[in-house]
Parts: sequence; structure tokens; C-alpha cells
Amino acid sequence: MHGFAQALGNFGDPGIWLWIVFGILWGIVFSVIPGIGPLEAMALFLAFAFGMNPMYALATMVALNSVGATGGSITAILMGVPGETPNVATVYDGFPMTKKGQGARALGAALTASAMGGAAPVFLALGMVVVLVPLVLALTSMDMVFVILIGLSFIVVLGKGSMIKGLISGGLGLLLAAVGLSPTSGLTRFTFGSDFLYDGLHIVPVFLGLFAVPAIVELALKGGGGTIAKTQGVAVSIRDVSKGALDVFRHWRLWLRSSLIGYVVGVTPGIGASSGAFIAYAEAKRRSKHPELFGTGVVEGVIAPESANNAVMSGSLLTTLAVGVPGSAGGALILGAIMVLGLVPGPTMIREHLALSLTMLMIVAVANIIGAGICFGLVPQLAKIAIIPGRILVPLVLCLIYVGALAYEGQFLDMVAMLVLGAVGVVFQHFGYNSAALVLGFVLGELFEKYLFIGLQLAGPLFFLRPISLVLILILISLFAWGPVERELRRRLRRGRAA
Amino acid sequence: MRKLMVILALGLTLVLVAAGCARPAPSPAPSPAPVPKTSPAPAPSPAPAPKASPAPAAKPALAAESAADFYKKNTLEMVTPYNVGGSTDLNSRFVATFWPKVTGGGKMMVKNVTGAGSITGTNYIYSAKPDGLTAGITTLGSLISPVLFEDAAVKFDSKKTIYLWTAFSTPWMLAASTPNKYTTMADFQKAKGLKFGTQARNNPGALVLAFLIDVFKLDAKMAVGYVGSTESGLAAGRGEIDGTTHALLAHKTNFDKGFEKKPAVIFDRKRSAMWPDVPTLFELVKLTPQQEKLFDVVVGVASSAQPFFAPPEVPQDKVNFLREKLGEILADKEFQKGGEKYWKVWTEPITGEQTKAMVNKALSASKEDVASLMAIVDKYLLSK
Repeated sequence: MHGFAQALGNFGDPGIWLWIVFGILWGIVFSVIPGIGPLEAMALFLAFAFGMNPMYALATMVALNSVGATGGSITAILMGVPGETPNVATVYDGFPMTKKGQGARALGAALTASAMGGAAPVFLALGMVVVLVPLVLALTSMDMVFVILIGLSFIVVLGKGSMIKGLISGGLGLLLAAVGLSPTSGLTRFTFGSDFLYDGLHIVPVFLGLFAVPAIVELALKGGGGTIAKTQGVAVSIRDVSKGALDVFRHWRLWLRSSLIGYVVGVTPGIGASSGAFIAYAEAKRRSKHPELFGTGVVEGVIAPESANNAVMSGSLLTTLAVGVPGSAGGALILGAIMVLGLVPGPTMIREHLALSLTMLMIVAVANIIGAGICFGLVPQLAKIAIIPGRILVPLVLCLIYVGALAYEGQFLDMVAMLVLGAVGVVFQHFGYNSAALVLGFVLGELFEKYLFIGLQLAGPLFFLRPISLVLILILISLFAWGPVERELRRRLRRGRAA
Repeated sequence: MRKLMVILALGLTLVLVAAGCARPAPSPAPSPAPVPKTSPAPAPSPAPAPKASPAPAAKPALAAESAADFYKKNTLEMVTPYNVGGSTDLNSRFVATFWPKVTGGGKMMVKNVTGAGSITGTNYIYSAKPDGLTAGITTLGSLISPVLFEDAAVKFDSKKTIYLWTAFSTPWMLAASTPNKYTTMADFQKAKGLKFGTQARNNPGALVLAFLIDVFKLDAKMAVGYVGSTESGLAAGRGEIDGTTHALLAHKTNFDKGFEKKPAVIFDRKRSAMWPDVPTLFELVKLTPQQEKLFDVVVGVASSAQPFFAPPEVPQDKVNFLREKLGEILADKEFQKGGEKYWKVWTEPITGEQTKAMVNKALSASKEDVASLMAIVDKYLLSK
């Protein structure tokens, strides 16, 4: 209790608020530009962290990291260009909503879901601070195989409508993940002698290519006067934004479930934070009464990923602080900052700097709420992007995505990779394949291979005969078997009543 | 057809962008100014001072002044081939904060050029224009290992590189995982069926671990595939492996988190100031001449020491200036104290000449020695 009181007391310092707001503004600006995001902003800031007051330095970095996905949802919804990897899943329904003239509503839903999804799990995180370490340490590499497999299984859900095409898309993602240096043998695969492919394909050019390029191509094909919005009337008033905000409260179960999924993904080290949004989206589609509408522009398809991708932040920060293992790339930078400032992440940090740790978790909630609030005011104007003619928008977005691809690692060939994946994205779009399934396979493929290889080495082919692994296998089976079983039970019940 | 035209248009735009971004080929290096070599004098410290170069002859005041003016007016680009937040990145950024102080206002800018392990960045530094405005910092192992293992991506020659100073060195060690019952090398030697964990097969960690298993004749195998010391440390904390190897700084982080016990052995010829009561492998086993030779190769390949280096053919006056000023920063007590929070303990840096000698020694290993090492690794892999 004393730690909580001290943590709250830290917010009485006006300096911390200044740095939080600075971090939020900087994070939003960076995350709106596709391909450049909070990681780049945090990297720039890290140089200044030396010699700073640790509280202010960490407050800025946490605030920066927390709003990354919030800003990225703006371009994802309005232009079909995800600002960050976690925003890829938002494009699927957010952009079609903009085409239908409902961009403001989509943004309202996204920002509200982000704020609530980022803020609410913080209370869970605060409660789990002292019990997290044994939970994380109980999960071995052998168990992680099935955690990742659960994530991969959602490829099937994403491909619903055409399972074969979904599986092909996911399979292609797994194949692309194999390009580069093998984490097991140390040998290169499918690099064809290229130094560029040594480290594999980079995630930013992949998602920019798969989503942004087809969106630009589609807009360009409409001619100079074409706009993103297909309809004449584009709803851009505050009332439309509020409608989207209210949608989140209407679908509170969806928001709660998606936030929990995001939180669990964030808190589990080794999954990869970007998969949280995909899994939440796929789960929302799986449980929906009308899964066939997902992808056509339904607000649930925006609420699910946006709740999850902000909830991931609180989970991953908790693991970074309490276990000393970063749950995301942003967490890795925060970990670096913690060590530079002379602090020791992990159980020691919680023991000796409990108030600071709790303050950092609370900042996630504060930053999400303030960040969403700032964006809310801009939404009615931003939503008008949907009616800007293509002759203005296409060159602008083209510059942004080239900058994003180049800025990621400073490699020219990333732009080439983006264009090649862009061609793949256009083909996928034309023939009804699923780019989100490809990205999910790409993100999780290398992790699955690594944990499977380690598990087989340490425990042989029966590595799954462990209590936690068996429970995970049961969860995996029930995720997909429960639906048909439930339908069959209901059918028999109805037949019984009719008889 | 229209879609194809749009994609071709995008490709053409890319070509135009590339033409605009094209880096000019480095111009031929200017002849070095005829200035005698000098080395910076380190500040006094409790540990023995690093071996200094021969006493400098008097140099023309005009040449030294011109290098000082040059670096006051121009920004030195310090390139690291690793990502932001890693130890070379953090160290270079810390050094950059002291650069204006020692140069009277000069600027140092840190740039990350990543790819192909660290090879892309090292290639970049090596092929940079030798005007003295590009330097690099990496790990010594990454200057030796890819060359020794003949990685096709390598376009640099570590023997021709100009070494300025090498700092932030910590030896490797082997430590037991906290949940398991082992602690010392004696415990490991009595045990059966040990399972250690490390990174990829040709990674320095695998070489160090395999070498230790071999010389201590442990009944042990290695699981490979963990990415980085954080993952192998977490695996140790979970108890899924019996122990692992890291450089000491990475181990200290895992030790503080409660994942690993204190080191069982130090992979060096002398004890570490960080763990003064932990013996070195030379104190516990007697190595054969062939094993000693392979030890020197592994130490070079696995070295986490971080050399500051410049491309070949940088004019001597600029090399001397860079050595002098970097030496001043490394000897600065404020620098050492400020970074100690991160490094945990300060180890004395070694000069450029000493670094070159280490590199040449490691690279003198024959193909047979390298093959012997990899055979030892393969012998202890769980996957074989």
C-alpha cells in the first residue's frame, strides 16, 4: 500500500506531467508516419536519457511507447496504411469503413478502444506485479511451442470464407519467415547470396508492401479525381466520432476480451507483441454471429485489434520491469534505459524501486487516455482525408511509405522489398487471399521454429507431455472444436424440445 | 494491365529515389601527413596502466593544430553495426557526450548501420572515405569471427583496419541456472546428463561452451537456438537448462534478476574484478598446447571487448588525434564513474596497437584449427 501511495504521489510533481505530455506528442507524431514509430522516437530520446532524472526519462519513454499504436491507427483507418505493425489488423475493417464514409466513426471507436484497452489492464498489471515472476518462469520453451501454435491457428480463422486461401497465405508467411539466418544452425536460408537477406525480410517493408501499396494502387487506378471514400456523403462531425466511441461501450464484452488477449500476449515474453492485435481480431471474427461481415467495414473489426494492441503495452511493460525480459521491441529500449540509469530490472527493481515501477505502469494508463483525447480533437479534420483527391493523396502517401521503408533500417533494398511485397499484396487482393494471415505467419513463424527446435533438443519428441503444454493443447482443441460441438448440442436440444 | 502500369510507375519512382540517395564512391585516400606516431597517455589508475607506445617525437605544432581544428569544425560520425539500445550503441552515445569536452566543442554523431549480423555496418565503416570523419565501434569478436569463418558477406580486412582503443571488455564465463542444484565446476564434473543452453551453432557462446565441456570432460550436451543472453538467461531461470555462458556483463544482469548463480569459471587467463573469488579455467584444468592454441582463437572470436576503429588509410595525424582524444575520454574519472552504473566495473582499456596484435593473433589460426573447433561444437550438440 505504501508503494501505491508513493507511486500516486509521484504524479504530484508537475515536471513528470510535462515529460509525459512531451512523450505523448512525440509518440503520436512519429507513429502517424507509416514505418517510423515510437521505437525511432525512443532511440532518439535515449541519447538524452544519460544524466536525466530517472523518473522523467522513464516517464517520457513509457509515454512514447504507450501511444505508438494509437497514432498508427489514424493512417491505418483513413488511408489503409498501417502506422505500426500492430495496426495492420485495424486496416481490415477500418479502411473499408472509411471507404463507406464512416472514417470518423471508425476513428472514434479506435481511439476509445485504444484508451480503454491501454488503461484498464494497468489495474490488472498493478495487481500482478508481485506474482508475475513465478508465472513467467513456469512457462518453458516447450510450452511456448503451443502458445505460438495457438496464435498460428488463428490463421484459419482469418482465412474463413476460403480456408484454403487462408492457409496458403499463412503458409507463405511462414516461408518468408524462414528467409535469412537460421537461429538454430547459424546458416543462411533462401538468401541467394544476398547480404540484405542475411537477417531476413524486415517487418515494416512487409506490412507496408502488403497493405499500403495495394491501397495506393487502388486509389491511383481511380484516376486523379478519385477519393478514398466511395460514397458522396462523408460523416465527419463530432457526433459521428462520438458514435464510434459509444460503439465501444455497446460492445463492451468484445473490448474486454480483446484487451485481455492483448494483455496476456504482452505479458508473455517471447510471443511478439504485434501478434496480439491479430489474435484479438481473429477471435472477434470467430465469435461473431456474422463473421462473413468482417473485412467489409464493421466496427467490431476496429475495436478488437485496437483494444488489444494498447493492452499489449501494459503487459509487456510489466514483464520488462518485474522479470527483466522485454515483451516487445519498445520494452527492450525501456530496459536499456533502465540499465543506463543504473537500475536493475527484474525482481530487484520491484523490491527496491516499487514506487517507480508502479508509477511507470500508471503512466501507461495516463498516456493512453491523454493521447486518445488529443487525437479525438483532431479526428473531424483528419477524417476529411477520405475526400482528398487521389492526385494529391497518392504522391503524399507514396513519399510517406518510401520514407517509412527506408527509415526502418536505412537500407535501400527495404524499399525494393516493399514494392515486391506490394505486388504480392495486389495479387492477394485481386484473388481474395488474406494478407493478415500472411503477416501472422511471418511474425510467428520464426518463433515457432525456434521453440520447437529447442523443445525437441531438450525433451525429445514427447516434449509436450508436460502439464502446462497439455493444458495449452486442450485450449487449442477447444478453441476450434467448441463451436461445432456447441452447435450440435443446440441442434439436439432443439430436436429434443420439438419432439 | 493498369495495375501493372501502376506498379511499374512505383518502381520507376524507386529508381529515381535510389539515384538521389546513391552514396558517392570513396575517393582515393590522401597521402598521410609525415607526423610521427603518438599515443595518448592514460590518466593514472589503480590498475597497471596499459602499455604505451614508444615516446612520441616532437611533432610540428601546425599539423597537431590542424587536426584539432578539423575536428572542432567537422562532425565525427561514430558508426555502430548494432541496434539502438545495445551495449555498443549505449557506449558510443555515452562517449559522444564527452567528445565536445575533449575537442573544445567538436561534435560526434552516433549512427546505427545494422544488417547481416554486424557485417553490413562493419563493411560500411571499412569502406568509408578515409578522411577521418568516420569511425566505428563494434565487438572485437565481430571483427574476427566472420573473417575466420569466411563469411561470404565480409568485405573488410580486420588486419588493415586502424584500431584506436579497445574498451568495455569483459571475459566470458559459465554459470549454473538458479533453480538447479549445481554451482561450481566440481558440481558439473560430478553430474551426469547435463544440458546447457546457448545461441546458434557457430555463435561465440556455442564455441566457449563446447570448449569448456571438452576441457573439463563434462557429461554434457548443448541445446542451441536461444537468441541472445536474455533468452538463455530466462531459460536458466526457468530451470529448463542447467547452465549457460555469456560475457560477464550479460551474466551480471541475469544474476541480478535471479536467473543464474554466480559464475562457476571465468573464461580468461586472469580473474575478473567483478568476481574476484571465481577461478579461471587455467586454475582448474591444465590445457594441452593444442587446447591453449584453440583457447586463444575462441577468446578472439568470442571477445566482447569493444574497439573503436577507423577505415584504412586515414591520415596519421587524424588517427593520432582520435587516439589521443578517445584516450582522454576513457581515462576521464567522470566518464568511468558515470558509466559504472551500467558497466558494473571498469576494466582498463587497451591501445590500438595491442588490439591489432590480438586481432592478428586470432586471425593467424589455421583452417585446421577452425575445423577442430567446429568439430568440438558438433560433438556436444543435442541436435546431432
